[in-house]
Parts: sequence; structure tokens; C-alpha cells
Amino acid sequence: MIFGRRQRRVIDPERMVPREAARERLNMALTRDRTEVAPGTLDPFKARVVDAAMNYFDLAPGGIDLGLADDPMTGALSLVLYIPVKSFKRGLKEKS
Amino acid sequence: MGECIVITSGKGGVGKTTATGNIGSSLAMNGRKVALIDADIGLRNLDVILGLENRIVYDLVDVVEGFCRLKQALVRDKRMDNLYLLPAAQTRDKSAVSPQQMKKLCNELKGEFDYIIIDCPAGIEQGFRNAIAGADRALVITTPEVSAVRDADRIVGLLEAAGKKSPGLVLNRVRPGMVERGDMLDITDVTDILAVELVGIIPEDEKVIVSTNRGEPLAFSHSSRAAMAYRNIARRLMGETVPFQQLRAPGVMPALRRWLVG
Repeated sequence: MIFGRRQRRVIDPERMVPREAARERLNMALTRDRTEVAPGTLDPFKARVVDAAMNYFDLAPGGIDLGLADDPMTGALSLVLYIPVKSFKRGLKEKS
Repeated sequence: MGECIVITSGKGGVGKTTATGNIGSSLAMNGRKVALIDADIGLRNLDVILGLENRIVYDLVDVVEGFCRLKQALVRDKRMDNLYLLPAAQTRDKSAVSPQQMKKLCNELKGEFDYIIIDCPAGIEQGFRNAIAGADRALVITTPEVSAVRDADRIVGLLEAAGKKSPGLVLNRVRPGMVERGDMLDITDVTDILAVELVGIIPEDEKVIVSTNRGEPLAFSHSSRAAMAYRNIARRLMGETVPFQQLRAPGVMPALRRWLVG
């Protein structure tokens, strides 16, 4: 995981055959090499998403995180947004 | 009009120079007129692989600086009169030549030769930029190791950024026994990750070292599987459809394992 709250799939190299371990390490290295996405570059995007979310939700205090993470179920790289929500805003149906 | 192909890798020691010598020799064996350019200025080795180190009078830098004509610098191979080498300078560095000069040189050679094969130096700096400047297409060579494949991925990205679309991939030094035991990246692992067209698979072969030390390209050998792989790559470059060799680990135990596991 580059940053964020979700934990990356835990890989125990001892339990993998060397070929699998090599492929996994290579994939992780290339995922980072091929992207220009870094915490700094995601910040402006994060602000826009939070602004949009505030139209629909009252946000709970706490950290807002946006980052890249491995999906623990599929292993696929995912863009993960963590926004703690206190409640839904009233009148949402009427507005839309 | 000939075709100019650069052989590159990013990482050093994966077999660029050996591949250049052997693919060039194989193309010449098929009757094509071939010029090999050693673009590794300051660290030339293609002349040694071909056994032509004692025949060099002028070099690439002499040509671009106008000290001699192109034909004077081209060294004809000992075995085939349709194979030529343009050696690199040994006492200069990569900055002695510019990409524009390389492009002009390649265009000049394309009028005379069917294939121009450029041996690219390791790295992504000036030497790399010079080597790819005049190339119509690129072959990226890698071994099935994490570090080499990672560098190959970077090179593929740089080639695409430079407008060299669809580079071909050559996988070198494959050890079928290690792949079968799960100790080495498989061919599909590498091709899936790099997502470029596979042009050749070269098995690990001790004879490569012997031939390199003798100054006789392995491509002339009829008993080596690596030699056959190089000849097959040359045929694919000429547009033929050639199936890939089935790589099997030698010995009784791997054969028994295959028979039991299926």
C-alpha cells in the first residue's frame, strides 16, 4: 500500500515458491514504477471529492484518506477513499 | 531501403552484444546484407564477439567527425562477405556522438544494407538516446530476473515515449529446469508483465561463453539450441512465422516429473 488505511495483502515469502515471490515482487515494483500517483499528486483530487461528499453527508471528525491499495480479496490495485461519515444530510431526495 | 533495428535492455550483462552478433550473423547467413553498429562508445565489445578486433582501423566517431568515409570504417566479417561491423571508439565517451549524427548515419547505411543492427549500451542516458535515434524498431532483451525485467519495463516506456512503437521482446538465458522447479520466472510471467510481442526465447547455453571467447558467433553452430534460437529470431525479423522451441529441462528426473505430473 502506498498510503491509506487499508493494509496490503500480507505475503509471507517463506510460504511462496521463489517464482511466485519473484513475480509478486516484480508486479509491486512495476506498479510503483509505472504510476506518477503519489500522496502529493492525489491531494487536489482528494479535496474535490471531499467537497462533493459534503453535499450529501455530514462528515465525522477524523482523517480522510485517499490512496492506492491492493484489494485483499482480488489482489487488484484499487483507488481507495476513506471518509468517516457521521450522518446523511436531510432533504437529499428533494434536492435531487 | 534497409531496416534499422536497435537491441537494447537497460540493464547491463543480459546479452545485448551477444544477441546483436548472433542475430546479425543469422540474418547474413540468410543472404541479407547486414551492418552491425557498436554504439557502446568507450566500452566496445561487439568486435571481440565477432573476432574482428584486430581489423579495426577507423571507428564510429571517426565517421561522424569526418576523419574517414563510412566505407573505410566498415570492417568486413571473416566468414561472410555480406556482414559488416562499424566499431565504436574505445578512447572516447558517449557524448562524442549526437542522436542527429546517428540518425544521419543510419539513413546512409539503410541505402546500402538490408538490415542495420545497433548494439545499444546499458543505461538510459546519452548512449541509449544515440542508439535509438536512427532505429525503425527495437528489440528489448531481458533475462527472467526481477531486476532485468524491471529495467526492460522502463526501457519499453522510454521507447514508446520516443515514438518507437511496438518493441519486440527477447527472453535470454532461460533455464527450463529452474522454471519447472518454480525457481525462475516463466516466459508467460515476463510477457504478461511487459505486454510486448515476444520475438525470441534463448535457452541458457554454456556454448555462448565458449563462442564469445573464441570470437566465433554461436549462430554458426548446428548443435546448440541457443544458436537455433538466434537463427529463429532472424527468420522472424525477416517476416517468417517460426514456432517457438519447446524448452525442456535435460535429464531423467525432470522427464520423470513431467510424466508423473503431466
